[in-house]
Amino acid sequence: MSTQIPIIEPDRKVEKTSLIGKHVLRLDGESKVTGAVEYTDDLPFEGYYAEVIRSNVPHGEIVSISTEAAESIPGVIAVVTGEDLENADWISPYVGPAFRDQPVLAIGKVRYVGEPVAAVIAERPDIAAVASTEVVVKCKKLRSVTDVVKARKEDAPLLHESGDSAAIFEDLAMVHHSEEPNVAYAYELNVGDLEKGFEEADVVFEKNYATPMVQHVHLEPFVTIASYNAAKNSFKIVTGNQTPHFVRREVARIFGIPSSKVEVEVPQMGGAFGSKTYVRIEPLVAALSRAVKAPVKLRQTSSESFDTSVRDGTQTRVKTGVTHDGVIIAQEVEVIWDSGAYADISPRKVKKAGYTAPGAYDIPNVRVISKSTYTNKPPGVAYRGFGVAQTAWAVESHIDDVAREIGMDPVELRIRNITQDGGTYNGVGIGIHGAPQCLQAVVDEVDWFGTKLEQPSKKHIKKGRGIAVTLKTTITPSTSEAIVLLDADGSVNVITGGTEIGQGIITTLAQITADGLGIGIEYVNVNTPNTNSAPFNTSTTSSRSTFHLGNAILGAVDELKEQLVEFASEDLEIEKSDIIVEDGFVKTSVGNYSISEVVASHFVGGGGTLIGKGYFSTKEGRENRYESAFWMTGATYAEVSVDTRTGKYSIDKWVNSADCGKAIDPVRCEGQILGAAVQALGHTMSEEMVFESGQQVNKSLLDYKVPAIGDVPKESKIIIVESGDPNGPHGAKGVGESNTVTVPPAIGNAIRDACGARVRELPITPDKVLRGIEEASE
Amino acid sequence: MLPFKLFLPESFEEAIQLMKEHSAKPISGGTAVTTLIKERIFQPTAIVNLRKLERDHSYIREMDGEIQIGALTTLRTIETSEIVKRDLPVVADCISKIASIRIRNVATIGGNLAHADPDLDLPPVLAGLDAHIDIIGEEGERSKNIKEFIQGYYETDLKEGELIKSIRIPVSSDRKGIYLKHRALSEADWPCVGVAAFMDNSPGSIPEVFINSVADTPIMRIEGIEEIFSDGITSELIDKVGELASEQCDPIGDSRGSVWYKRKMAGEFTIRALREVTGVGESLI
Repeated sequence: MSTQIPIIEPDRKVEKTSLIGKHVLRLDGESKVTGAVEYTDDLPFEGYYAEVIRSNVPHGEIVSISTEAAESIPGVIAVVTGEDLENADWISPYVGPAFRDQPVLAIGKVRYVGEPVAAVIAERPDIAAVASTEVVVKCKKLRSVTDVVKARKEDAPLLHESGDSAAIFEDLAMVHHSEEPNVAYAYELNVGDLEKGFEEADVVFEKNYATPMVQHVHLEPFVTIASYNAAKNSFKIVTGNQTPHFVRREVARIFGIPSSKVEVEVPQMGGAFGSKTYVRIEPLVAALSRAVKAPVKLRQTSSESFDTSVRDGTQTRVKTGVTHDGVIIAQEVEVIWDSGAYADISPRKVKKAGYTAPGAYDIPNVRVISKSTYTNKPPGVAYRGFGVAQTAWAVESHIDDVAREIGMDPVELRIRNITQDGGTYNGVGIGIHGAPQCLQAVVDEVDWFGTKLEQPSKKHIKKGRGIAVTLKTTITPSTSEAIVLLDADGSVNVITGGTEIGQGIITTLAQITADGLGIGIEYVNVNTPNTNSAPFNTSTTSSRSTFHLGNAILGAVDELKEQLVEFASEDLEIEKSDIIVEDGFVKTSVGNYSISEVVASHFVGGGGTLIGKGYFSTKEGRENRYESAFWMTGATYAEVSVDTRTGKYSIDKWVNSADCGKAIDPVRCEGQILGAAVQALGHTMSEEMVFESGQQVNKSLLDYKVPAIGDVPKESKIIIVESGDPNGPHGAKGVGESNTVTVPPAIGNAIRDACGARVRELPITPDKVLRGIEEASE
Repeated sequence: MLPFKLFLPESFEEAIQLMKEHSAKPISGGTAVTTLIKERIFQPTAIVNLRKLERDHSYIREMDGEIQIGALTTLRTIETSEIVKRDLPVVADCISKIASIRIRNVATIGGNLAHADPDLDLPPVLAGLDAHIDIIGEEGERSKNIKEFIQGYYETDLKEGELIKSIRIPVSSDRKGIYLKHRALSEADWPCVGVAAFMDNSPGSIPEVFINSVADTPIMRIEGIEEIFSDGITSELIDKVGELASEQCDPIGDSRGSVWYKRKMAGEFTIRALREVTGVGESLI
């Protein structure tokens, strides 16, 4: 198997142009700071309001749902149950991007606490809320399983009887349930000869590492408005979702109507981090609207986000064979994912994160086993880092453990084994990725090999330092298209399926467009998507937008330029070869004309529109399979002080590097790098969804702690690495996730260095550190 | 949020009347109760919002060797008050460690104390300062020492229809105190454990220690310190008091720490606080 991606041009194309590489104030910045921006919930709405009734048992058979009391409340329009949907002839009520295993409302069985069981539709939200408390769900409890080890035992209760691929995505066409109980999908990678590798190794070291389920804590909760048009048998859906085109396709499929009859509009979103991918509440709200033939709005609370979408927990075993001089010659990684009750996108996650489970290292003999496991917990969905945050926690902690075992500096061990830019990875060529540059950047910044940390005068405080590095794929294959409309006044509208989650894509796309046409950014308007006009976009996920949409826009801009040349050639009666479009002008042998002049003079009747189309698709190569359209790489250095009497630690300093390929806007790149790092600070220090008998006990920000400003290291350095991606627009690629991956192990390694405590289960609480200190001194 | 009736009285008398008529619960800043309502842990039918009482009952006054604080005074107002910073620096310091500025801008001292959450930061400090809570009800006014005011897990001495009117804190330049807050998860969090230690400046004086988050109330007084320090205070004896704290506390294990850890930290922060107020032993903060 080969993983070479098709290369567009072999050379690195880092270009210097007018707007590329410069900071541009966010075009939506003022509206966000002043609160003028409209999120889905802010939009004017006339219609009914829904409220969801959820399962309060982790696994059970639905015996009865009594809706009469709720229905008798004045103002209640209807109560809809899973059975109603199952019996309706207008919906096929199962959804899912990998398997169609998830009912829109529970049918027959409930599989986790929080699973939607029924919905009340009422004239007002308060009536819906009151009525929801009057719906009585009776369940016969079934044996539940919330642990991935127990879930895979022969006598474990099965969550799903069968599961066939939803067959939507090429890379998931072959996924199927494993024969092992409750394993949704098992991925396996074999490179070289693992056993021979272990035999040849001087030292073989094996350890287990774990991460808990965590939640995205996107501040804007799930909000969807669906309006069914009975006359046209069509839907309009306004929703916070990162994959409007998938929503369109999935909603069309379950209702058995063409995609063109589902209009999906996505306003600005207040954060998502992967939670708003594929379908969340859209099929449900669409079904409710279809049931009552009126617009329905569902606005969930933040604790309902905790109820229904999480990051998979993991248990990982890593076994590494290494020579005395620090060459890693064999590695086995077994990752068991706690994917919750429904597969959602977990099969892709275990596959993609499984592929890079060995970290950023070029190891000749590798075996990866990666299993997505069903448990009676909320479904694991996409989350920034897409599984690599969990696998890297294991492997990057493990590398330090191995280095200690052979008495080598852990950074030295990394440098000796890191996959080279343009080298090989998992036995095949990998192309340009920037991992060594990212590692080198932090090593140089802190002078790792030349500096020794000074220990504080207080004897109970110990200082330590640690580093971690990562290599991550992006979603591949995938497609992005763009339409750029050029008006007769020279201004342009950019229409894509890319969604603004807060990451700044509107501004980045405007920058690329304005730069491409040589016009001022103030003449560019980037639309938030509406699938009735926006061409296809696989997703706004996986840090893919700048790369894919940027490329699509460059194509569209080229098309516009060709048309401008054509018009000028026709209208001025000169050869096309004597015309170029540059700096916002159509430059010809007979003079320079503004773009608007050329457009306006070509059309009559007061205007005209030029349409430029572009698309970018990472299609499968003719002979080779490939893993990633580009590679995300980054590194983190962390310096900690540990109070050895309490186990509490502070991060005194951190350095985060990430390869942007080319920073379209360095300030926004820094924002992504720091944002990813701070989010991961939460995974490191505090975040853990705590379950007792399948019930979440900390599903609010009172007890589920995310980092506060006081937790962010005061001394912080961000390094933008620009390795120049051969396929990226101006050499750019995604940068949103690398440091979500590297921060936890860098801090864990620093704590180990400081005080001897090796915590192998996230989060690293002071309690665990203190235990580790006591164990280390025993 | 489930619907409920909301009243906005302008005086304590009106508030008390409304509470009685509608079996309503009072809120002031609402930072604690609103969360409970949103989570449907608390499902009230009626709420009396005391916000409009702020006009007459947000104040910090010096009187007769005491500082009197109106129940509707926000935590932020107290924290930034020149009088409090000068005369009760330990109170200002303690409040600065509560939640975030945005929360402290709306949370009031009356609401804070009436909530009686075992994790509250302020009660151990007010206990160390021997503060009194002035209570107003239909029957008139009465006063209660903070140590008797908070009676159990979210339980106070407040009877049905009673409200906190003000808090009185004695000022003494001879009394020295410190509050150490140990946070396990985030800098903006409840305490894993918080320890307040106080001591008079007079010869032979014995320190007092109050701990939150490790018992059913936020004021767990360590008993038996007098015996240990009867012949003087040494670093070894301070360690012994630390052990006493670990033994006497009764924490619940949660994400902020296991029972093992919280017991250990009750002891450790007792040692740290005592080293500070007694000046015996090396500082650990």
